Amino acid sequence: MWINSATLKGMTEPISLPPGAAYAIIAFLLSLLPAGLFIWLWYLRRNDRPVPTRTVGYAFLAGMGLVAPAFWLERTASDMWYEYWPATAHYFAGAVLPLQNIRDVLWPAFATFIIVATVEEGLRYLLLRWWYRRSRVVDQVFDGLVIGIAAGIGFATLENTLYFLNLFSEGSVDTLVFVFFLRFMISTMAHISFGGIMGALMARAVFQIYRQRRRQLYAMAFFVSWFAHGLYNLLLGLNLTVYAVLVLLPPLLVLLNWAGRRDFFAMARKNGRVLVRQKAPVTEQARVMKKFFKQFDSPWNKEAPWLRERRVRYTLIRDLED
Amino acid sequence: MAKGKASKVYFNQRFRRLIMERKTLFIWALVGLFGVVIVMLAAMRVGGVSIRSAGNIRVMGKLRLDNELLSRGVPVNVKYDPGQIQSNSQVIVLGVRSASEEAVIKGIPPIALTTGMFAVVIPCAEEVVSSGDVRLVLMDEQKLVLAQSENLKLAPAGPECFYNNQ
Repeated sequence: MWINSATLKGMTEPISLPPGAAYAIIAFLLSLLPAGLFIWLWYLRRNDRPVPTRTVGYAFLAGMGLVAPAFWLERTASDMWYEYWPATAHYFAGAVLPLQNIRDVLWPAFATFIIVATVEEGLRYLLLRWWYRRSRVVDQVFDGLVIGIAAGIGFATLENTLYFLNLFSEGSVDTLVFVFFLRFMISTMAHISFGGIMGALMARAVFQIYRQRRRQLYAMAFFVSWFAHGLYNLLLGLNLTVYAVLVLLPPLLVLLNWAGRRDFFAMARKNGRVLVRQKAPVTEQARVMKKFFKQFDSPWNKEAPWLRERRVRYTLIRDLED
Repeated sequence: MAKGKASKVYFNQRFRRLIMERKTLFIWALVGLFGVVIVMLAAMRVGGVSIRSAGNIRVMGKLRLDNELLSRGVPVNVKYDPGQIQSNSQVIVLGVRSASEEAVIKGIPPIALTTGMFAVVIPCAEEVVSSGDVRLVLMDEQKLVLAQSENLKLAPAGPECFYNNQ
């Protein structure tokens, strides 16, 4: 028979991976949990998806791809700091506590604002600016917001993977639960808010027809995210985690507000060309309300008010429900 | 007439639904606020360094002690991960750092750093280092901080100092 005992024995042996590979896979799967949740919250659960799914996938992968150059640049900066100013190089890793003088704050601020925030937000800025100017898919400001969020989630996913892999390597499994939960809630949402704000402002800048306003929006797209990121990192480095979490709330609330702004859904580009008159698509609800007001203000209704309450209100509710 | 009654009932239902939606929104806002508070407390417990986005940089080592309360004159074991402490310097010192001062209390030969643990005794003299909230820091000759501990409480001189006449 072609199936012998040796073959059967080989089939029943478990497949094993090297420990490093197994840890990497587990770390990546853990990192995908927050990514999946937030992508579902911001994109997949919507019936009217503003951009194709593959665009969001590309943005996610692009965000992951930014991690390597960002980490290389930060490592290079750290090594240069150690070489040329060794007495203060430890401030790159965080503040030395307790704080004794203003230098204990200024040096970590230099590290977070000038190096970390500039590198990470700068790379994201370059990516989004290059993408939005060329893409035909991005034709609403909300598209830019969604793509910015997806890029932020991709960056956070790979960053979380490396963090968890580090924890596995150190054997710090006891702290893994807390760190996972906190990086899930805080770090991922930080990248979402920074990326979303930059994406929305970048899209507004690309669709702006006036040059001066466009330059202002381009500058805001970088500096707002840069400042928020630097401040968030600085507060964490100074071990002021409460304030770091509070600093995240305004950008998140702004993003939630922008997600409902009607002018962000205006069609701003068609066939690759920016439109001068940018109008929001007419929804069924807007059409019904327009019909209601036309009927309500009609001379017929004004001359026969006893009919208005019964007729107009009934048809409005019925049309809205439909 | 029947249609008017039906629309009135329908409006009342929608009004009640609107009130319920506002209550639901209020409850969800409270839940969200509670969640934010929980996250803040958990973040305080873990510390900001584990959460921040710092990339691939040299991390500052962590000095771990079994007890957060330091007693003067009593040997205490300080543990760390040798892989996190990288220095080419031949002079490594352990210092005690408070909000107002920093004092060196012990020199550590670089070869001893490979063991992952060393013992230290905080001097009894208040002039050397004051009592209160302190942290232990490991530095090299150029004041580069290689590792630091969490917040510790340094107690005033106790019986160990008097009995040992330190």
